[in-house]
Amino acid sequence: MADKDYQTQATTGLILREDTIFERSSSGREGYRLPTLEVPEVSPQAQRRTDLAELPEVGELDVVRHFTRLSSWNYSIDTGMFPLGSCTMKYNPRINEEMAALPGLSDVHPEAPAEVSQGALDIIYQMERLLCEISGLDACTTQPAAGAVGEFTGLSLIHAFHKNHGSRRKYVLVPDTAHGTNPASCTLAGYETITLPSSKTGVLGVDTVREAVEKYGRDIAAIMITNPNTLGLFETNILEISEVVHSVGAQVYMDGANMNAIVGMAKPGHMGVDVMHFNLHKTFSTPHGGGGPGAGPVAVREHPGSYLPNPRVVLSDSKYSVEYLPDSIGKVKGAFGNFGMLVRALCFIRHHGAEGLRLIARASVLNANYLKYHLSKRFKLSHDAPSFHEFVVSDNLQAKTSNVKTLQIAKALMDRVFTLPRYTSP
Amino acid sequence: MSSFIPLTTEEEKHILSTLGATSTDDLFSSIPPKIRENAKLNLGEMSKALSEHELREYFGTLAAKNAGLKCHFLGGGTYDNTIPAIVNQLVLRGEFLTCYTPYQPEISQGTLQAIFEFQTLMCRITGMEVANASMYDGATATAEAALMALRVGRQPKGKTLIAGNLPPDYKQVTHAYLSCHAPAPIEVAWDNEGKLDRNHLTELVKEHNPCSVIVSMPNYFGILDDFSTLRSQLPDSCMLIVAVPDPSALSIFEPPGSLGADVVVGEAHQLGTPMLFGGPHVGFFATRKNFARQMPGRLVGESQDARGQRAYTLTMATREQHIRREKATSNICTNQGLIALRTTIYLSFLGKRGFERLGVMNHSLFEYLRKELEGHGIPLKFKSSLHYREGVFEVPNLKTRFDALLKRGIAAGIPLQQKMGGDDAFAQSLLVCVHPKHKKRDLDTLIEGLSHG
Repeated sequence: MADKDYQTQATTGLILREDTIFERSSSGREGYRLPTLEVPEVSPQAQRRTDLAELPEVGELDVVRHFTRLSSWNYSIDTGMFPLGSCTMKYNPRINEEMAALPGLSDVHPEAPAEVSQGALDIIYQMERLLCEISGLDACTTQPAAGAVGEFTGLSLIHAFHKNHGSRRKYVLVPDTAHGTNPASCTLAGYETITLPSSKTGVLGVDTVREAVEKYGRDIAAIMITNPNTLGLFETNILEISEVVHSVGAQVYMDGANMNAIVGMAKPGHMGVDVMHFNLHKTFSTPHGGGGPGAGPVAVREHPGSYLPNPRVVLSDSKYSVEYLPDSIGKVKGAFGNFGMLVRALCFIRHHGAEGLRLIARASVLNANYLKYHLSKRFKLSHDAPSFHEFVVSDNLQAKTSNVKTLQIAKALMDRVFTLPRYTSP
Repeated sequence: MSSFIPLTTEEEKHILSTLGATSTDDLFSSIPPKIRENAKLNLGEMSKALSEHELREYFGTLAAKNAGLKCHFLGGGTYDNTIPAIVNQLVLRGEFLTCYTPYQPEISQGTLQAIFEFQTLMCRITGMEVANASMYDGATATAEAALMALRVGRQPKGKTLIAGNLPPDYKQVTHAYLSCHAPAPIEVAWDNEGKLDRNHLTELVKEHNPCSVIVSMPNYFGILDDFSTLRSQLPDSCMLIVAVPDPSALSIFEPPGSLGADVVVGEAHQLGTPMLFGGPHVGFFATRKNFARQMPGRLVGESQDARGQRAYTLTMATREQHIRREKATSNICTNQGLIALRTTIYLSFLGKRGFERLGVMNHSLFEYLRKELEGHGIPLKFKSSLHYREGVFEVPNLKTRFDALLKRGIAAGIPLQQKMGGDDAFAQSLLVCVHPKHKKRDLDTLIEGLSHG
């Protein structure tokens, strides 16, 4: 398409210029009305702010129009498909939102005495129990605020475990296909990253891990592995890899970003995994919201369990209470974590039940393979191996006959989906 | 199949025959059999799939178990407030709720502009020059500020001083974030007015040459310390980090930006987001321009599109984990997008005068409570200090009176002894907080309950 045509097309239809909310401001316009003050008004004198913070002065309709118009510029799951892999942009059920907003769940203060927050504690307790069963692991914390906090929490648990066994370790093995957060979390947890190359088949080879283990031995704290991996392939050597890693007392950390592909079909606990995190916004349908909030619960085998973040929710004599573990790594997030996201995830799990959860994995793998089958007629596949929830194609074939590169293909996809709103599938 | 999994049996058959597979299980054959065979989920009483109606019943029952309180005076980092109807409704627009991280500016201008406005609001409230797209909460934002100070000081093993009167969660999270790779933060004591002990601070600065000092405004005791001379008390190499657990205080009190703060972090859920048992909330992170490249997290900048029109995009992403991997400024990949949006809508609607009014209301409610409680022989623990909306009261027979009020559906506050690590000095101390929903009769009921029994 010629540049000129593109511009003509892009300036019609949905393009709505919208000033910032500050530019909509009119001095003296009244906005939200606060409740009536029933006690004498006292205006402080000491340490008084000299100028008021320059917030906009706008009315209710101004605010509604402004944000409604802004929203119309976003592409979203509700407007069309997201063919993204690890980020798992699945439908966000509205019943989740309704439940998380229920009075009695949304308006509970985290310092409310346990006797008047039994329902909230029950939700945390049940979520931890469900995630233990889904992961095949022994204990769980729902405190981490996002996957990245989950990674840091998991690595801190491993750090505490080694430290309490008198072992100071330096390295974490991370395959080169890992998400950038993995090495960044290693740094935060005080570890150096050793990058492991994946093999030509796209999965991690046992020999690669064995070599690293022979070279670094008991300086290795853990391996951090995403399974299925970012190429959409199951790490078929996972059992042998775990064995090799365990042989030097190191731990196996699994990034659960892609649990959507295997939930109900495989449990990380049976793969030799010691610690893993979930992303509730990926596997359990809490909304991405344009970048958060997420939640990144961590499940562990029994041995790192005594270091889990405080407080722990415990059940005894049919009553919930909180208790503090003496060897805990402390707190990784204020209060109990992103409780509102737990409500949504629990709602999603209960909507599906055990069999329904298994169907999620089956449907996502079926769909990805169907897409892969059709796209492989026009694109070169990066790896010829069974795919799970995602797959990778390259621009190799296109590059032979034209100048079209991946970036142009991606931008063209956006044009088809977004600027032609009736076209709902890329 | 569930209504969220639209695949029909016919479609499944069609896909399988297209792929030349006989069953969906075949697609999972690269999982070692030993793993596959044990995958059955045993969810016990939760095995059954529930309908929407049954979900409403289930969560309704759970919510009812939390409904024992008629009124509360709880604060300490989480604050109650009224939430405008438009906040709840606008964030449910699918285009905001269900959109992705705004990596592709062409299809994310709505989210990007809203975040840009959030950043601008945070700068204006704190008096700082640059604010990021938000953090998980005030506690994690504080921890990230401490980490940033180590980077700025180029001392990965540098020292961090933290005021003992910060909210306990802020201290504990900072401790956990630092403890794997740097010395644990060192606590600065408070003086007999509940304020930062300046003599102790001077001693510790001399002894440790820290990369940062973290102070709180207001602090955990509800006190607004006077920090106008604090910056000059610190060496240039030591960053002054001010944590603001309740930025509504900055509607009426001098912001940390005017007091020489290098970083201002804090919590903004009380501006448009319910308490939600502690999360999701939203943290903010604001600093000076010269530290922008050392900031954690995401940042939205104003730019121009191909046609020269104003447009927004993520900027300075080379600090971030998806590009810099192990050398990133933080491992944070997300922000609190939707909660930052709530804050932006709320503050826009509240407006310049409304924001001031919120501060005056909280201040007035607390001043009434303070005066009346003092008149009933229940003094503030740190009575000569300037308080905002909450304070520590010394309550005779605390446990009896607290329990009696709780029986009547009133949570009188947060008993502090356990929060302060069992310190006997806090045996009778109750942290009491007001919020804009309080009526005069709510305050009077509390006053009566705390002064009898």
